[in-house]
Order: sequence, then structure tokens, then C-alpha cells
Amino acid sequence: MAQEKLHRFSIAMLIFNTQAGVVQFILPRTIATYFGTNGWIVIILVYLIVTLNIMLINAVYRLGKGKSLFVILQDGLPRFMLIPVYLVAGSLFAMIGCLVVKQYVLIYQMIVFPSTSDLMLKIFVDILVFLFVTKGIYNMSKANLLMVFILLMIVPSGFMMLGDFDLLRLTPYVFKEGHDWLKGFASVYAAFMGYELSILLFPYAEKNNKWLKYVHLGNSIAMLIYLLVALLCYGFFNYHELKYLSFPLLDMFGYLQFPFVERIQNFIFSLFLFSIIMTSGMYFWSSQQMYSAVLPKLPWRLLLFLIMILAIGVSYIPKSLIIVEQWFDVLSLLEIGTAVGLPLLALLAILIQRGRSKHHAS
Amino acid sequence: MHHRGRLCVLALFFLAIAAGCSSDRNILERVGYVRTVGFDAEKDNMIRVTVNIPLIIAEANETRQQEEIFSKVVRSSKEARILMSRRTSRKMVSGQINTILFNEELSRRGLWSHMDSLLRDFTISKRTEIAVVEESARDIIETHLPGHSRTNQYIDRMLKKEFETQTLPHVLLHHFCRDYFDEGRDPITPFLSKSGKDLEVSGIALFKKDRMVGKLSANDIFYFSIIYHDQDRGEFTLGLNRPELYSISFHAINNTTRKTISKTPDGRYRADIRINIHGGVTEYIGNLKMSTSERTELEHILSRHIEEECNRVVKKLQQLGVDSIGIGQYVRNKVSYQEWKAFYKDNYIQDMDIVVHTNFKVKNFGNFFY
Repeated sequence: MAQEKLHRFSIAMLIFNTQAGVVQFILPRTIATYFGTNGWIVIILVYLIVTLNIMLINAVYRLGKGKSLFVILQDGLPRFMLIPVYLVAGSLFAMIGCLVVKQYVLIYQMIVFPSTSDLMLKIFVDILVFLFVTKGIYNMSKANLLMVFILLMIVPSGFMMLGDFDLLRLTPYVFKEGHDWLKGFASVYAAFMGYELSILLFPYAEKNNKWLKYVHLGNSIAMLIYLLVALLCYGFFNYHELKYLSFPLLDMFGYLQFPFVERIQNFIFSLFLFSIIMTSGMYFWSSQQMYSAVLPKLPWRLLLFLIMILAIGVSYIPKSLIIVEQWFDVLSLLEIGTAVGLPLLALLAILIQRGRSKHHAS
Repeated sequence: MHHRGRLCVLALFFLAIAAGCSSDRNILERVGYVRTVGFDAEKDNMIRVTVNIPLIIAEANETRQQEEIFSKVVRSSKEARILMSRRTSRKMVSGQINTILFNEELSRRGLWSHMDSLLRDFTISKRTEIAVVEESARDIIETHLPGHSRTNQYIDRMLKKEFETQTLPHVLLHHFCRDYFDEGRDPITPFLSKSGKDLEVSGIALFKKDRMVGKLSANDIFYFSIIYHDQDRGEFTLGLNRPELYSISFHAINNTTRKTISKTPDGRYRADIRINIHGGVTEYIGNLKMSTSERTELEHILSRHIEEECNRVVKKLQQLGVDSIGIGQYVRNKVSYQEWKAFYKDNYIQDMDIVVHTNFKVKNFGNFFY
């Protein structure tokens, strides 16, 4: 039976929705604090570096001739070396999947339900994520198309804000009055995280190289959305005020006034649950893939359930938004390392395997 | 399939029950929505906070409208809310605050510490109207002025009407905070005062950062407005003691204002503000015939007069040292970063030469061809 392949466009939307997350609400403030005037330019710079990383992953696909990552690694490297790599990567993905939900839930609680327990809200979302991931990657990608459609419908409302947008407020200076550029760069790079999961999509995609371009498409859409948001925020508020607004995007949505409704910021933030379910779902799915490579005998749904229970247990520890953001900073750095490390490890395995076969042939 | 279906139903059932367990319910009849808040200055840095909560009480067959008005002397507005909630049977929430009034004395002291409460609260919208009142805000909120709707509605609708007809520049909490943080601009708010049995928009309060330093009278609002932004509606009247122009009123005022910055030979910055304005005449008392070439003479007189008045308003702003029209932003757009840092001092606007040039054109003169 021919296995159904993930459509190229679905992969692009999958990558885009995994990358887009709650960070959109906070990114303009981060950029204004670290980079100062006209800091939105840094998004383009980070995008270029992310593109290089995606090209690295594409190289793994081409040189590995379309084999799954696990097959490539097992062909080249001994299993005792791989098991810790799988365990670490799997745990990292599970933690990120879990903290993404925790951050969203804490912000939601702060805005809408100040006295409700955040554990209860988190369990609601986790049940949704579990039901979502147990459907399998194909159904996830199909559901994702609808989610992305709904989310992209919010974008035209950005043009309603052009009335209060003023180019004068942008100032003609670039990157003045910022500090700690390196830390800022890491924060902005962390906003683009999500593309590295495309390395696990190799066995589910088409058997030719054409779908690789679509990962770039997903990344580009994410970049354009971030750029639009940051640019609008810089022109709507000035860069000084941005440093003191907790959620600039929410404030902008709160300012919009339609003839029949106003202050839709809570509604828009609730819509973002779609993005969170997708991001968290993809990370948990990736974690389950990693753990399945270590324990192939366990049924994958059971494995997923156990991973989520463990992750929820660990996520109970950080209780405030500030601590979650600190954990995220550390995890993002590790994730950036994984995004570069996994493809490099795969390339190493390919080289070793080629060297070995040449040795055998000779 | 059946097993999975049962699991889903169980999960949904659990969710439905758990949703009612939240203590964040806001039942409409148990909640008191604060509509207007007033801040007055008291001694020792304390403030008096007055709130107005309109209620609709439905009992048996009759429904009546009522207001709960509370006033307390406190250090901060959230302290006031906590103390006031001890007296009301409803949960006080700030999500529907329409107008915030600050007393002039408090504005001259400085508003930033009170802005903190307004900014931290997620429920307070950035579209809230903010105004400075001449006397006590408590007085205004507590008195029901005869001949007008309830005071909180009266103030809210009056300000909204003024913004819509563009007789006042459109400034809300968002613009105040934004201009407070911007180095090249200073915030402004409408200025209200009680006159007889009515409330009147009697001018614009000029702020330097968060302290009020001066005020423009109601007659100057028009001249300030056309320098401040491009209008596309509004009406205005002026009168001179000349036979050519005893009185004239026009409507549908449309102006484009361009500000250009240049440097004079002795190193000062010079701003040239060019205003092209046209309007339709609705009333004219004078001895010129607008249907003939005498109209150009009329336009000339009007242009010169508006130019003089605008220059006078700008001199006043310079004297007070406030940049309410945003000239600093234009300078910043033109110079390098080091030059901007050298230029930006506390009262940079006093060192500048600002000249206004006006060109007035009559768009039409109504139904009377004379």
C-alpha cells in the first residue's frame, strides 16, 4: 500500500505554524530593548542565517538520498553513541512542547482569568494537543491548513492600523540605543525555531527534492509576519514606549475599533491557541519519534502519553511567567544547538558510511 | 472507533464541568462598571479619586437608572478602588472606563505616577479619553447638570463629538503615552471647564512630559489644530474690525501642512511650516463681493490673519518650552544621531526659529451668489 505523502504546501504551512508562536506578542519589545531604533531590521538578518541552516538540512536530505534521519544515523554511527543523542533530543523537544503551552496559558491567565488555576487551563490545552497528535502527522498537516488559513485572516487587520502609523516615529537611525546585541540576537533567533523539525519529515515527504524549497517558503512567511508586526509596532508606538509595553501586539489590537466591535485583543489571543496547539503538537510528535527510535517495541500512542505526562509533571515547577521565560532562554540555546548539531551529526554519519563502503569496495 | 468516541465524550464532559469551576465569572448584574474616573489634587501628595458607576436596577415591573458615586482621598487609584469596594454591593471593574479627568492642579504637579495604574491594568483600554478639568473633578462628576444627559454620558459624548467633527485634535490615552515617551514631541489633552450650567471645552492643556505647563484658549484651538495635523472637516469663525471682514464663518476645512527644517547661517535650526487651507464659506459680513475678483482680496486678508495668529500660537508654545506640534521629530529626521543628541536639550524649541506661512483659498461660498 502506497503510504500517503505529505503535500509540499502542507509542509510549508506546517513549518510556518510551528515557528509562529506566542513570541510574536513579545518580539517587538525584545527587539526595541536590545537593538533600539529600527531594530526590526535584525529580523531580516536572522532570517538569512536561518536560511543557511535550512540549506544544511536540505543537504542532509540530498546526500542521504531521502532516507529517514534515523536510518542515516544508524548506518554511520554505532547505536550506543546514538541512544544518548536520541534521549537528549527527545527530552528537549518534549520540554519545549510543554513550555510553549505553559507560557501561553500563563499569559492567558494573566489577561483573562486572573484567579483560575493555571494547571487546570494547561491540562485543557494538553488534552487538545494529545488528541491532535494521536491522529498522526498526515491528519495534523491537514488540520494545520485550516488553522493557518484562520490565522492569516487576521493579517489584513494590520492595514487598519496604518492610520496611526507614522514613518517619522521610526527615526532615521539604525540600531542606536540598544545594548547586549548578542543576547538580543539569540532571542530573535529563538523566535524562528521550528524549522529544525523538518529533518524528521524526510520519510513522510515526496521522494524528490522539490519539497525542500517549501521549507524555505514556510520560513519566509514566518519572517514576513514577524517583520510586519515589528514594523507596525515601531511606527504605531515609538521605540522608547515599546520597551515598556508588555505585549505590544495586544495593545495594538486593543486599539482597533470596528463599527460593530472593539477591543478584540482577547479574541485574537484566543485564536492563537491554534498556533500553540500546532507548535506544541509538532514538538511532542518529534519527541515521540526520537523516543520510538530508542524503544521501538512500545506502541507510539502509549509512548506519547507517557512523554506528555512526564513533561506536564516537570512543567508544574515553574509557576511564574518570568521563570518560564528564563527556562525558555536556556532551552532555546540548546534548541539552536540541536538545529545545527543534528544535521551535522547526520552529515558525519553519511561521510563515515561512504568511507566505509569505499573501504569495502576497495 | 466506538471506544475513541467514548473517550472524546468523556473528555468534553470533564471540560464542560470544569469550565464552571472558575471563579472568574462576571455576572452582568453583579458587576459595577466604572464609567468615569476623576483625580483631584490633595495635600501631601495625596489624590482624591471619584468614580461614577451607572447602574440599571430592575425590580419587579420598573427599571430605573441610577448612579453610584464614590469619592476618597488616597495615595493611589487602586487603593481607592479597594476602599470604595467596601461600600458597594457590586464588584467594581475598570473595563468600561470611558473618560479619565485630571484636575488642573494635579496635572501641574505631574501625572506619571497615576498613569502607571492605567497602563498596568489590562482591562483599561488605550482608547480612553483623558481630559484636564479646571476646577474639581469630583464636583463635575457628582453634579448632574440640568438640561443635559447624565454627566458621565455628557462628557463622553461631548468629547467624542469634538473628535469626530475635528474641532479638537484627536487625543486619547494612547496618544498621551506615545507622545510622553517620544523625545521629539510633547503630549496634549483637551481642557474642560464648567461655565454656568454647562461644561465647556475651553482649550487645550499643554504638557511638558507629564506636567502641565500651560493652556491654549478656545479661540486658539483652530490655529493649533491646523499646524498640528491635516484636517479634513471642521468649522471655524473669525471676526476683525475691518469693513472688508467684520465676521466670517466657514466649514469643511481642509488643510495640508508641510514642515521643513533648515539651518540658519548662525547654526540655529529653522522650521518653516507651510499651511494650505481651504474651506467653504457659510456666513460673511463685510463689504467684499465674493463672486467677483474681490474674493482674492478676501483670501489675502484671511491668509495674513491666520498666519499672524498661527505665529502667535507658536511663539506661545516656544515661550512655554513645549513642543506640542512635533517639530523635534522633523529635526530628528534630518540630522545625524550625534547632531540629534547634541541638539536635544530640555527646551530645544526655544532655540529654534519657527515661521508659519499660510495660504487660504475659498472653496465655495454657499447658496448665495454674492
